[in-house]
Amino acid sequence: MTPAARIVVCEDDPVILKLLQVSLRDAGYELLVASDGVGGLALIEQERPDAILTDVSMPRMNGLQLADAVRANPDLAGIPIVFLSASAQRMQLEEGYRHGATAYVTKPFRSADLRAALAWVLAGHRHPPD
Amino acid sequence: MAASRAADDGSTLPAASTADAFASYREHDRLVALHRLSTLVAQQRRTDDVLREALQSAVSLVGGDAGAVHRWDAERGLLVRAEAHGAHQRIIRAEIKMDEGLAGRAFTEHTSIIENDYAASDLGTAFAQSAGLRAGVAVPIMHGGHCLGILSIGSYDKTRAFDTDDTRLLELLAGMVAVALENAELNAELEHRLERIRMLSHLSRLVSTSLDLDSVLPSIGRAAVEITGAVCAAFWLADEPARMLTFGGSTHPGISANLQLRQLRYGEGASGWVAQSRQPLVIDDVFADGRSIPLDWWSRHGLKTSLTLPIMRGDSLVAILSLNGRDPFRPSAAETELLESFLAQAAAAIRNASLYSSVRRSQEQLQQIVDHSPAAISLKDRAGRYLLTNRRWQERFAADDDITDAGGPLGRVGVGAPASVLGCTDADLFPGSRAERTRLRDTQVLTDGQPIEYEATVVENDDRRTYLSVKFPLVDSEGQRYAVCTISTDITERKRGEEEVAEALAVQRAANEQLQRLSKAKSDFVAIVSHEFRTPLTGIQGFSELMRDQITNLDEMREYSADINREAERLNRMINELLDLDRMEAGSMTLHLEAVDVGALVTRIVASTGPRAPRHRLSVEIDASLPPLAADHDKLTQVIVNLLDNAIKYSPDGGEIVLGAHADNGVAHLTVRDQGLGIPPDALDDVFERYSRIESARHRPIHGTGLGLPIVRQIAELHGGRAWAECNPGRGTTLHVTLPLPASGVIVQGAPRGAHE
Repeated sequence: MTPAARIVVCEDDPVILKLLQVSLRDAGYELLVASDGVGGLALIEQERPDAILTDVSMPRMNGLQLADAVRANPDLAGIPIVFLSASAQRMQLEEGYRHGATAYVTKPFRSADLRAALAWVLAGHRHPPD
Repeated sequence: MAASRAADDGSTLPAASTADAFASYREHDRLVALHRLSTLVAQQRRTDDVLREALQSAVSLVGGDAGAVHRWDAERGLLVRAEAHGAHQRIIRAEIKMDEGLAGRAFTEHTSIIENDYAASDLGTAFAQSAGLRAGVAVPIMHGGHCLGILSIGSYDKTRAFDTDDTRLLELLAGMVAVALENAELNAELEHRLERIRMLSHLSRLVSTSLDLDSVLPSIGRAAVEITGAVCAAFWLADEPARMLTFGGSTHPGISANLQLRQLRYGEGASGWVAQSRQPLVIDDVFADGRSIPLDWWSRHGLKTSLTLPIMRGDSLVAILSLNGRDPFRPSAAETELLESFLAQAAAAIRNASLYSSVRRSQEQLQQIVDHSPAAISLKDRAGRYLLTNRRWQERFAADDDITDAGGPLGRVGVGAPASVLGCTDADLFPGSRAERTRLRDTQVLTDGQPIEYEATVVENDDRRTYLSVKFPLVDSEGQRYAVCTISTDITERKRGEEEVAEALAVQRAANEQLQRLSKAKSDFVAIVSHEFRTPLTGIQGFSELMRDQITNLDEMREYSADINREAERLNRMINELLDLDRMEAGSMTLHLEAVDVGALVTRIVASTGPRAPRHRLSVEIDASLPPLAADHDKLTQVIVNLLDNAIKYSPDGGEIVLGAHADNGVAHLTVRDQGLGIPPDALDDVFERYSRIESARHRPIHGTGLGLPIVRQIAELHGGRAWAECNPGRGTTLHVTLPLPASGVIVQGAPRGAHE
């Protein structure tokens, strides 16, 4: 049995963080959570997770800045990043991809979609489906 | 013969020696006479003096009793008495025909003739006999093969007989007379020529100094009349394109006044005939010729003959000179030559006059044209003297109260009649600063040869007017810039129109920009609001999905439905805030004013919020002397809650949050100071703007409606107060709200609320 994939989750809203945890409870991932970008980046540098699931709008360091920092660090640059955002507009999606998103999940989300996106990036896919 | 003469002389000398002495005396006498005469001739004395002297000498030297000089009159074919001397001189014939008597014969034969016995001779005339003459001698006065006249001497003495000795002496005297006559002729000719030269020079002067045809043409006409012997002269001016002659004046206005005719077509009348043929025309009898019109005019003035001459310039007919008289015109070559000079003068005069009149006409045309121009036009020479100004220029500068252009105010200008400006410079007309500025511009144009353009604003009777001026040099045929012209166009209306259009465009553009800004802000707002609404929606949708799809136990069910309920309430609150803000912005929110104790209200809110913010240290600084406010209690509560919530949200790491309330210059001053993330200085005001603040996610990374601070500002302003933010010296932000305190003495009704509830 392969060890469970380790995923860093960054989300400042406690309700949504809880929803993420419950939704992914049975998917067999190990979730490491942070409530903003700064905490998230520290966690990523320390844990070297298999994937990152992050909100875009967060205090102190938002998801885009976090992605920039990850992509700028050669040791971390290869980790897939899934953006979770309430902004579903094409412009925001494109901005996310420019900052290094691997996949994009919009709020509100279905838990099946969230799990599919994580499975997809963990399988090594790097080009996001439209 | 010698003896008889000696006896005649009554000499007392002895006979033999007397004869010699007499001869010697006579010789001496002759020499003296000849000398006197030659001196007279050489001195070019008057012909009469010479003739008298010569005749007296001749009579006395040959011992005659009477003598005469007759001159040949070629025109009449007669010998005419010029001088007479001695006895019966009064009855000496005034005229002698050729071949008549001794003198007529001598003239015909060009030789001296002696007749010592008239009674027996066929040459004895009735005169000679009636005068009692016994002997006579006639000598021709010869010069260059021509006989100019006859010198004749007669004697009553029966014993006196003329001989060849006498004739030789007389021929000598006649020779001298001939020289004198010839000299006199030459003198007269010289005098005549001099007179003509004087006349010509007078005419030239007249032509060159006078441009008035009415004075020049009659002068020329009078000169022509004088040399041709005409009675009067008239000029007809030619209009070649129209083939018409127009009466141009005459030497005798009285005579020509009767001539009703003032215009002639080419071919009409004698002048018309000359105009057509361009040939001089001599008519000896206008009634026989028939070309001249109207004939009754001629008969009324007793005129009969005419000489009509064309006055040409190149191939072009300028005028006709018509000389009218009573005797046929037979001008000599010299007279013709002189006439031609006159005609040349006339041509010059007419040309000058027509040039002048066309120049004057051009000038008048120019003046009229520029006078009707709506632009102000002026022309100045190189020295800055005005050569021309138009009516608008005069009006404009006479009406100026004040002129400003690049150089500042220009003084009042008073300009009188247009003529008074001509010849003046700007320095004569305008204040120094303006004159100098104008002069500089003029000089620039004259120096560079390039037109310049500039705008100037003029105040005319309290009406600001703008002129667009263009200055350009005038250049003569040799390329010299000799004047500078200024044309100033009133562009006030155009300018006003342009300004109005520009203003309208600016207003339109501003409105468009405002609309675009609003439109963008609204769409941004919609995007953000929908984004914010999605957060609670995500919880509602996610937990309800979990409850539906996953087997959950009762505890979890309760927990999730509590989450759903909380998120639904959050959503509801957000919607209410949004609606509140809209109402306040639309001005449809009414305040329920009552006495509010702000210090107590702040303290109560802090106390109830504390448990929700375990990481923050909340404290209050309340000014105990702060009086109650007249405020809407619920709205003021909303203000304090929002300020506190904002401080908590923006200091996610915790820290101290201080709420203050104190009186400050007639207002209640609320402050909320945090140690949080702070606000970039350039966004301090944006956080109070519902639309613009949301543009950058980085400035507002906190969840919520984002409407808290805009609501704070709206409520503060509804109360007549203000709301603003400032950066703290260390870190974090302080938010300020002021609310007006009631004026002192005003008692707010009711017990202050705030401490309870």
